[in-house]
Amino acid sequence: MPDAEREIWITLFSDLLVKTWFALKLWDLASAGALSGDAGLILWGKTVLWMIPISIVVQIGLTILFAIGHGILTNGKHLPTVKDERDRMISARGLITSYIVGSLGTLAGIAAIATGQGALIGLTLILAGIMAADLVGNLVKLGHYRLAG
Amino acid sequence: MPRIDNAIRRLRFESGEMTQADLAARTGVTRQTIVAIEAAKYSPTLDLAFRIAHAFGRPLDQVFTYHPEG
Repeated sequence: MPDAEREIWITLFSDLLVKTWFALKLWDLASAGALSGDAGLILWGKTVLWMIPISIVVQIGLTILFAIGHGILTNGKHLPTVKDERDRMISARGLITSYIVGSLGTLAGIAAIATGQGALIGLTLILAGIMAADLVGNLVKLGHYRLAG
Repeated sequence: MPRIDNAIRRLRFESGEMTQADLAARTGVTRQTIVAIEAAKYSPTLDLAFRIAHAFGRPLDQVFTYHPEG
């Protein structure tokens, strides 16, 4: 498995862990009724603002842990770190997919607000689109590595 | 649909059974990229195509052939 592909697996796992935690946290708040009304919207905004740096730190930590774990499992033997034109092409395709998914989420959020679903639903859809964008982009990259050219 | 074929596998065999890893090292790409090119699942850039041809000491058209009609 080339370095670029292994990095995607690591990102995908850490991304899934962090985003599941992120979604559960918001779900808990919504279930407790803490996100209703204007005060709920402010709480939603504050929660998301706090969760972004926390997610970044946790993700960096997990990536380091996975890298250490991989080093132990492979007994320190490191595969070639070459990233070539095919890696860059696959990366670009993943990025395009991420843009599309992120844009669709944004569009869905705006549509939700326009149809009177409420700002919270609209913002949550936009956030979900952004969160899904990375995941789907990475899955597309893995698909290219595994199935296509 | 246009198709690009290649003779990489045969040329590796004729070059003292050069491995895919050897060719990858000579051309500065990963072995997986050579695998994908050899299986016609990935079309290399012109630059890489020339590097591959150079690694075999052959002109480009002896390594890659273009079929406009597929």
